Amino acid sequence: MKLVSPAKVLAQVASAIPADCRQHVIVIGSLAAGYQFFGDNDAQAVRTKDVDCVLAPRIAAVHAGESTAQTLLDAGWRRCSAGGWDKPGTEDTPDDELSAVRLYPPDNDDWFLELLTVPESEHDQGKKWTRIKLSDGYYALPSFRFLSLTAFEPLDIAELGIRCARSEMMALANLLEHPAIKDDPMSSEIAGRVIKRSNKDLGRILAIARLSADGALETWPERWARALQQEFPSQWKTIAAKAGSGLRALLASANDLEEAHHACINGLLASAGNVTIEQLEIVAEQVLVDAIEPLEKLAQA
Amino acid sequence: MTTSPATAARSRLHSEVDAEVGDALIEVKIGASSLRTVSSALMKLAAILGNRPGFKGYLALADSAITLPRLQEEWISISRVLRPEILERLTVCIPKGNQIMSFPRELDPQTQSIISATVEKERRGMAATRAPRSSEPFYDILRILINQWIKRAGPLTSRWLAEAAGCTYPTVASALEKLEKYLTRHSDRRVELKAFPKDEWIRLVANANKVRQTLRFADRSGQPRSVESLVSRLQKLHPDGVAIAGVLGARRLFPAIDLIGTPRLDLTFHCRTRQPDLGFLRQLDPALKPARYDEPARLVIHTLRNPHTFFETTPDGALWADPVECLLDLHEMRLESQASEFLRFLAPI
Repeated sequence: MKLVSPAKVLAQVASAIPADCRQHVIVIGSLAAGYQFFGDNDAQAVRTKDVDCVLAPRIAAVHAGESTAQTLLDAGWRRCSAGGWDKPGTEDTPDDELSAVRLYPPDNDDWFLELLTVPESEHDQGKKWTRIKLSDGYYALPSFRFLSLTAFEPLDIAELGIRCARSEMMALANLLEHPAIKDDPMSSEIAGRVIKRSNKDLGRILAIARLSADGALETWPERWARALQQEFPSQWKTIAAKAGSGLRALLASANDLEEAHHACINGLLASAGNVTIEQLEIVAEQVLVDAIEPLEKLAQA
Repeated sequence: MTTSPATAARSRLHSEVDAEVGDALIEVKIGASSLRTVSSALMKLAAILGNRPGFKGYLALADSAITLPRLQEEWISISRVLRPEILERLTVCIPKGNQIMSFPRELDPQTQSIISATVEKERRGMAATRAPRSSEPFYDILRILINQWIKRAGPLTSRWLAEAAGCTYPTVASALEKLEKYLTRHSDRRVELKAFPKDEWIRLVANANKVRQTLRFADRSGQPRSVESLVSRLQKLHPDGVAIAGVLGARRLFPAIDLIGTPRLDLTFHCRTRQPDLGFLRQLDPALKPARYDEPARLVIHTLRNPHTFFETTPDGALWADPVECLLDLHEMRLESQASEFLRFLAPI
C-alpha cells in the first residue's frame, strides 16, 4: 500500500467521474477519513490501496455505476487484474459470480477505484451483488448490510462536486459489520503482516476517533441513532444494542488490539505521530464511554 | 472441640472472602488501582479454592482503574502458576453499569445477580463506614474558621465547630486555645477570627499533604482533553459531592488572577467514606490514570471529610469548592505569587 494524498486522489477521482453522476458518488474508507482530517495538508498522507465509492441512492446506482465505469474505461482507466477482477460476465453469469468494478487510474497502479452501492432494504443481510452492464459484458456492484449508513448525511466537497462519508458514519458501519473478531484475514498484507479484517476495520474506528476533535465523539450517538432509525426502522434498537460488542471483544484481546494498532499506524494514523497501543486502548474506552454507551442507552429508552 | 491447624487455616481463609453464596466464594475489590491488589486477591481465592473442592471463586473488581487488557495480562501471568483444576474454578468479574463482564468465562444470569448484589452490599458497607477522623483536626478547625471569616459570616459556637469539623468539644477547645491571639471571643461564648492567622496558615500549607488526601491522575492518551472540556464533562456527570477547585475555583472568585490558561483540573471531593467512589472518572475521561510519582497530573482530587463544607452552587448548577481549598491547591501547584495575590484578595489587610 502506498502513501497517497487524500486531496490529490479525490480531485483525480472527481474529475474523472461524469458530471451527471457525481451527485451519486460518496467516497468512503480511509481516503474519505483522511480527506476530512487532513485533506488540505499535503504533508499528511494516508496509506491505502483502494478508493471505495458508494453509489447512492440505490435507485440511481445502476445507471451511475454503468456510466461512471464506462467513462473511466474510455478515458484510459485500467481493470485491476489481481484476483480475477477484470473478467466480464455474461447474461447467464450469476450475480454473485460477477466481477466488481475495480479500476486503476491511467497513470499509476498505486491505488484502484472500486464501485459499491447501498443495500436494497434494511433486511438485506451480508454481501449482495447488483448487476451492471458495460460495453464488454456484465459486472456487479457489491453492497454490504451496513453500507447504507455511510451514505447518511454525507459531507459535500463543494469544489469537487462529490461527497465524502462522515467519518463517524464509517465508524458506525465498521462497528456493526464486526460484532465479534472474525478470523478472516485481509486479502493483502499491511506493512508486511497478515491482519484480520475485523481488527483492521475496528482499528479504523479508533483511528477516526483519535483524529477527531476534542468533544466530537459526544456528538456521534445522536447522529448514529438518527441514521439507524432511518436505515433500519424496524431493527434499529436491536442493532444499536449490539453496537459495542466488537470493540469490547477487541479490548479483551491483547493480540487483536495489537493487530488493530499495527493496521492503524500503517494506515490512517501513518502521519499522526507515534500512537502507542496504550493510547489506542484509551481511545477505545473513550469511544465506548462517549459514543457507544449513550447509543445503547438511546436504544433502551 | 479441638480444631486442627488445617481447619483453622481454612476457616481463616474463607472468613476473609466477602461473600459465600451456595458454591460461590466472592471477593470484592472496590476501586483497585494496582495489579498487586488484583494478584494478591486472586492468589487468596486460589488458596481458598485449593481447600474447598467443588467451590467456585469470583473476584469482582468494581470501579477499578485498571484496564481490561492489563487485567487479562495479569490473569495470564497468574494462570501459569496455578493448577488447572483451580484455574477452571476461578473467574474475574468486572461490574460495569448493570452488566458484569467476566473472564476467562461468562457468568450465568443467576451468578451475575449474586455478584451484583454482593458488590452493592460492599459498596453500601463502605459508604456506611465513617471516615477516619482527621489526623490533623486542628487544621480542619482552622480551615473552617478561615472560610467563615472570608465569608464574613459571623461568630460560631464551639458546638457548631465540633459538628462541622467532626471532632469533639475538647478538641475544638484545644484548637481555639492555640488560635487565641487571632480570636475574638464574644460574651455569648461564640468565637470568630479577628485577623487572618498567618503563622498557622503557613504551617497548614507546609502540612497540606498530611491534612488532605490527594489523588493524582495523569492523562495517558497523548492528546489530553482541555481542562475546559473536562469541566464541561464533569458538569454533565454531576457526581455527588465533587466540587471544582484549584485555579478555576480561584478564578471564579478572583477573575483578575495573574495566570494564563489552566494547568490542571483540581477537584475537592466531599467524601465521608473511607474510600472515595471514583466511578465517575471513567465517564469523565478514560484517559485519566493514577499518576506515577514523576508524572504531571492532569486531574487532582482532594478529599474533604468534614461533615460541613463551604461549597457553593452557581446558577448553572456547577459546584465550587471553598476559597481555602482553592488557595491550598494554588500552593500545591507552586503558584506562589498567584496564591499570595489570591490571599490578598480574600483577606485584604
